[in-house]
Amino acid sequence: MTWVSPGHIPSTVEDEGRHYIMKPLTAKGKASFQKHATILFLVAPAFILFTTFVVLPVLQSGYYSLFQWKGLGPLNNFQGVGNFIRAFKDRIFRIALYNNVKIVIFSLIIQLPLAFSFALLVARKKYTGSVFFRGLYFFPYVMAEIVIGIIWRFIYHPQHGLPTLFSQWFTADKMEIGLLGDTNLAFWAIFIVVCWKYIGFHMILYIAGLQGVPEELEDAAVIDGASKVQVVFHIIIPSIRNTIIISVFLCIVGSFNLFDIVWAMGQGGPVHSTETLVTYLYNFGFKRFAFGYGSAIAVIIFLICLVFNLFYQKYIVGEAQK
Amino acid sequence: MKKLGIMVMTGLLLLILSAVFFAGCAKEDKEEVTEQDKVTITWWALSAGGGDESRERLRLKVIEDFEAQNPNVEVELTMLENEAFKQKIQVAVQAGAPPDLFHSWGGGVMVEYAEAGQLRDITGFVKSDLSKIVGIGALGVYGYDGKYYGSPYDMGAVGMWYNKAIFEEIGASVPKTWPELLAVIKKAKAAGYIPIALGGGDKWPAHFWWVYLAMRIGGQDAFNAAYGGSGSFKDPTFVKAGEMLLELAALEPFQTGFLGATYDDQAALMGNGKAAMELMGQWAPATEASNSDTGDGIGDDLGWFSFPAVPGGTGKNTDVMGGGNGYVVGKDAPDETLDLLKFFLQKEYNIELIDVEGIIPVAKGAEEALEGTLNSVIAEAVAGAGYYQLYYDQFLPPAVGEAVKDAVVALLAGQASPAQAAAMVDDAWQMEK
Amino acid sequence: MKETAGITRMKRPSSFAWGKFSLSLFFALLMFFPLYTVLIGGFKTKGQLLSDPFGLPQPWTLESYRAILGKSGVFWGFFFNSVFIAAFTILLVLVCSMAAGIALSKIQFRGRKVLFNYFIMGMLFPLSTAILPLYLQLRGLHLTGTRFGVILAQTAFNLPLSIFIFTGFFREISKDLQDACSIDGGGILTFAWKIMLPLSAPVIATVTIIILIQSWNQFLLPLLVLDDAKMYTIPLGVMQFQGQFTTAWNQIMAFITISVLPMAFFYFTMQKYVVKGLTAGAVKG
Repeated sequence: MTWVSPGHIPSTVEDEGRHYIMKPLTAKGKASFQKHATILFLVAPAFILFTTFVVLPVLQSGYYSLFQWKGLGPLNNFQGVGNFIRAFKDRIFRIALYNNVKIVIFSLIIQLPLAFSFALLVARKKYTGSVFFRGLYFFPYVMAEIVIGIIWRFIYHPQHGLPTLFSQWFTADKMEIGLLGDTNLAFWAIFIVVCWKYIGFHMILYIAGLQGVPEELEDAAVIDGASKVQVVFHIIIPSIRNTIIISVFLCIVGSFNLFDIVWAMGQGGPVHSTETLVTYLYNFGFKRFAFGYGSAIAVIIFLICLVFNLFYQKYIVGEAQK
Repeated sequence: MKKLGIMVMTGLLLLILSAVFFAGCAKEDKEEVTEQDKVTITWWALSAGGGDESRERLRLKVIEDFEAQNPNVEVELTMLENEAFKQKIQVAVQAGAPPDLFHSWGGGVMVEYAEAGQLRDITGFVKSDLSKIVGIGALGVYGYDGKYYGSPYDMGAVGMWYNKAIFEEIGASVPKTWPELLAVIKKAKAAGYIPIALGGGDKWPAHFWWVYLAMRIGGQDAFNAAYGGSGSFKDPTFVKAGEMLLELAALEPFQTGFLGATYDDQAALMGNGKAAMELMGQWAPATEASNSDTGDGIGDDLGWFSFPAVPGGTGKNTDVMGGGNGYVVGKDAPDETLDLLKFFLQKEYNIELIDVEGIIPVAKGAEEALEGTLNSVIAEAVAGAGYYQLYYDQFLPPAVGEAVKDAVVALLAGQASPAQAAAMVDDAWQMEK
Repeated sequence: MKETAGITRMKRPSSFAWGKFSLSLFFALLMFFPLYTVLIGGFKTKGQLLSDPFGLPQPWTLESYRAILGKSGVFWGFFFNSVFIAAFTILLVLVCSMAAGIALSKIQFRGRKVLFNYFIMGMLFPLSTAILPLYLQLRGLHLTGTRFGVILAQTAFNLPLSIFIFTGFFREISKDLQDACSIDGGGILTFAWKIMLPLSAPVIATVTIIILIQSWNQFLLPLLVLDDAKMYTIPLGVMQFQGQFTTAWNQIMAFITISVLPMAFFYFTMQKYVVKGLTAGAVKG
């Protein structure tokens, strides 16, 4: 059975009639009442909490986004879509958007394949230490982003950090390397940290996916003369296709929501070179008391994720179902 | 069987509801009690961070003394680290729930709060009571449009801190003019020192340079023209400030990676004797010490001079850019809050704060306690200033303050020309005005 | 090793395992390095930490740990608050999302798909984008300044992913089991209680660890909601050491080390279930 995407309920469930049917009771009305009472009883707590603390605030954000508003006083300067137009005209907003896209692309071509390799390394053919390695790879994921930012600032420190130490091993002069202070390199320095933190999470997803692929299948292929690369590409990857789809989905939504690490490592600087959409929201909405504008950015982030989600459901998941 | 399931589920649902209920009640109960017997004052103050609790201890002592004299009052103190405070206060104010007494640097942010009706106008109290213990000039930073909203307890100046030992080694004397400063930088660089430490990642230490240059070039008139509307931030003064800053940057006086460095890093370079100079406020010695490897900084080797003059500039060398720390009063604050503020500002506590926070005191008579310390030089500079300018990033509205900082950093990174940087500031200012 | 494998094959897998092992070790060292820096950093004096950040402590000092765990005992307060908030968040999320998951997977009703999508949409919002309206909401309900304010908001933001996982898992539970239960005269709730709940153990473990990680590391929300430092959680505690003008790096390192330990313990004991749960719930191959 394959159900994989948010928002996607495979029709097979309903077609097969797997759903629960209430026992026929003497009075039909009573059964219906009982059924609806049960549904209400089961769904209400989640529904109330979710609506109160997620949906309503988000709708409010949507409303604020139509105003020029400092976050103080009455909402009276209606802008319509003015805030949205302003955003797309802003060079720094476009940098932030571009950075987010870059993070997504490079996560897909570097972080996820690495995570997949890690999974292959530790999940197949158990050997001494594989469980330990798995734990270690996963470990950065359990640490707070804000804490990770603090640690890596320390590691990247231009005067006593690791890059400088390395350069002094290999070169004679006492060159200092300030990655986070370089508008070209800071992005990559932060990208490494993002990979370091999230690789373990995606690895665990892949390991879980691999549990569903019998090792005998691979052994059989090897006996038939397939190379290991062939096994990976022709047997393993197609078998865990759905896991990969989930991992890609979470990776993309996560990338667009990236904030704490970037913030802790340089607040989107130097000169906005590491700005992401959420740090942009923070720098240009919160810090400048432009709350209406900030809300518009929040709406844009949401819309990007939504559009992506719909596209993804329609084409990618659709393909996988065939 | 079915009943059991229902019972369990009902139980869990009840648990959730009761959690919500109790959480609500817990709060209400507290309010009820306090309404009946006691006046509660909420007070948000800045902590030093780094596990240093001396600031909190002093304030708790103040509270204890105050509560002893006013048994009907209860003060709830919340100590917050700088960045955390900024995030938290903004949301609290936006939600219409400012604490009764909270930290403020005066200027633009305070004005935003005041205009939104989130601060209590205490003009009467300032005139009748506070002006007797605090100089009216210092109080002016916490006023706007003839109204007062709070008071500083610390008012200092930004200036050049330098390492005397390094200066001696390279044979440099204190520079009085901009070209002399550039000459010292070259000497320090040649001797293998970092001429100037700068935490460019935090942006605000960088903006000091541009603002001071503008002050020396165009003086008070240039700023008033731009601020008042008869001129703009695109005026020659501000473009020239950018050009001169680039002249400085061309010598590569800052440490490697300064654009990503924090103020902590800057202080550490000074405190460890690796950098020759920094442009910073009155808190610099304390910060250098706590960020140094030894914990003591460079001690007596540390010296201070005012920002050098620019040849041909109309600004005076005695003009001072600075600022300080203080408290403003929230809109719903009970009257007792004013008494607490006055109580906190008394001379004895202000003198204690010199040690605890490295302040320049504002209470009349407290400056005597500075005698013989470096801070007395700063106090004199403040007292003798004909034109005292609060840091731009505090004085101007937040959106403009942020634009100034962004523009200066872009300039230093070579991503904006002096004219573009000036235009960035002016665009933000015109939008805000 | 399989018995059918010939001599040549016997050699190959073994050398392969060595290759794998060394590769794993190499990656492990890369991944571990930052952790190593933190781990030893807490045992150094501040001076040594800055002058020789990656070398071994010389001498080893327990000063930082003493400062954090000692008499003033700052850590324990933060720890208790983190545990309290995480425990209630987990409990609430599990109860609410399992209940909703049952309805969304096992009962046929109109609007089910819409309701499911309604919840799942929540996965697309980061908490930080709606923080001001959220704060206003909490304030309106008199929840600011209380731990339950943090708990309820966190719960709400964790519901989408949990509902996603539980619904997926419950759908997989065989219809036959359900029918059998039905014939025995049990209703849906009995079925949920007697059959689904025990089967869900690994999925519960997975969801628990995901929420635990989120709750344990949440920074912005508790910062805004909590006023009294006595209620502060561990990430807020770390920030107390990262001050405006000073950074007690050695104490931060020690603090981070201690605060991560419970997570490490929890993860290593539950690792098996987590993978099992993910297999069963989220990432069916």
